[in-house]
Amino acid sequence: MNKTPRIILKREKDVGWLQINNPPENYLEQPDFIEIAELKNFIETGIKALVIEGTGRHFSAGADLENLKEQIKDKKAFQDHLMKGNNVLNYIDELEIPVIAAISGVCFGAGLEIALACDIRVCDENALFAFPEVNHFVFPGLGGAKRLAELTGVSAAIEIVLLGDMINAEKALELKIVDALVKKNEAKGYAVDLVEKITDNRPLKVIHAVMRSVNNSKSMSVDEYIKNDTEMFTELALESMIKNKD
Amino acid sequence: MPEIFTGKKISWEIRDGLGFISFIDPPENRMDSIFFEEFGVIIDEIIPASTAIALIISGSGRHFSSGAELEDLFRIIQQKKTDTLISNYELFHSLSQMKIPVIAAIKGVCIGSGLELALHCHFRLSAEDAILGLPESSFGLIPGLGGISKLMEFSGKAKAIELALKGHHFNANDALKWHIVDEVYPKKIVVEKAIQLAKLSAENYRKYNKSDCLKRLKI
Repeated sequence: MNKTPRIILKREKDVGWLQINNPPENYLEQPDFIEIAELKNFIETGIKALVIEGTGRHFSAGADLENLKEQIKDKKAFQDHLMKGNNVLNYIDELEIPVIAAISGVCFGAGLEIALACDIRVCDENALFAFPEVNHFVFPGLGGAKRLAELTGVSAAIEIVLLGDMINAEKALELKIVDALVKKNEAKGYAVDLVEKITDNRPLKVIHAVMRSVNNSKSMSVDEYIKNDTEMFTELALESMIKNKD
Repeated sequence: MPEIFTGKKISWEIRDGLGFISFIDPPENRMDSIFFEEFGVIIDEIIPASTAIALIISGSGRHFSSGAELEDLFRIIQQKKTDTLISNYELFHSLSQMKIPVIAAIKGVCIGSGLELALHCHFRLSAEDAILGLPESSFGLIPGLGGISKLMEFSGKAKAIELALKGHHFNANDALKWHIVDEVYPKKIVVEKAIQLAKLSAENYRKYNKSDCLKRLKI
């Protein structure tokens, strides 16, 4: 019998959707919740934005603990999965299209790590966030602590990771873990509206350039950044001149 | 060095110890090659030799600046003068590197490279009527003079992406909410407030940080 896919990829016009599909909690069966090649193929169909959401009421409660205990028995294989999971999230983080997490319900552990690898996070008022790993004597293994610290500052991030406490939507907004807070069940609607506004009539090249500039601003020296932005600008300007001539 | 410089697009003068950079091509105060040439003279030659203790940048007439003169910009790019674009960007960047406080007093339209220039200043005071935005993406371009990295710094990644890709206009209160401007005032007193802040921050430049200066401005 065929199992229902745990991750659903679908394209609606220019927008890609990645749905974590293991309701109700949307547990992730392993750290590499999707094959990077499969995701890459999907992105390369030319989507202009990617929205990540969970099926049903919750985003994702993270790793399935029972399953995890089984997996850890084979240390080498588990390390391999963890490494692949990290590669997937780094890939998502560096994508040159906007990636939006539409969060409702629980967003825990590896679920929160996925959300933190996105560019924009919107949640509804019922959303709950936590890194409960510490309660099981581990820590977020997919770069979540570092990404969290970039948003909240180091001291708040340490508290969240070491206490493992739950954070409600309002607090998450205050701590800058999420960028927007909307009414119950409206996170998806907000994401749909936002992606439409930022991709409509925008050529993919312009979207790539903006996102590259965004990513570069974190990683490059000022001189390098200026050079890169100017090159992208020049290329787009030359293209737009050719178009206007026709 | 002269205490007064009057170009075609920009003027410079020192009053009461403060350096005033004014865009003098109203109503739009557009930025073209002449603008950047004159801006370069002021930034690289006049200011380093001057005694100004702070800088105030504003537009004459109703608006701050509606940004680049596209035809002129395209002409430069066709001649493959990317070096010109890099040095324009570096001029803007050097505003943020000044050892004296640099304040943008914004009113009316402040869009495109007009807003980018303001974003490189240390402080932005805005009139209530201001209209801001980075519309470049709607012409198939990107903000090319540091607008994206400055928005990342002030407003965060999500807002930077949204504003750069939507390309829409927004008002002063939204700009305040998103930390793009520091304070909003009635149009009539923006320059007056900028002068007050210039003196306050110049005196206390080493002693206080940016938010201290803004707090003291409210007293």
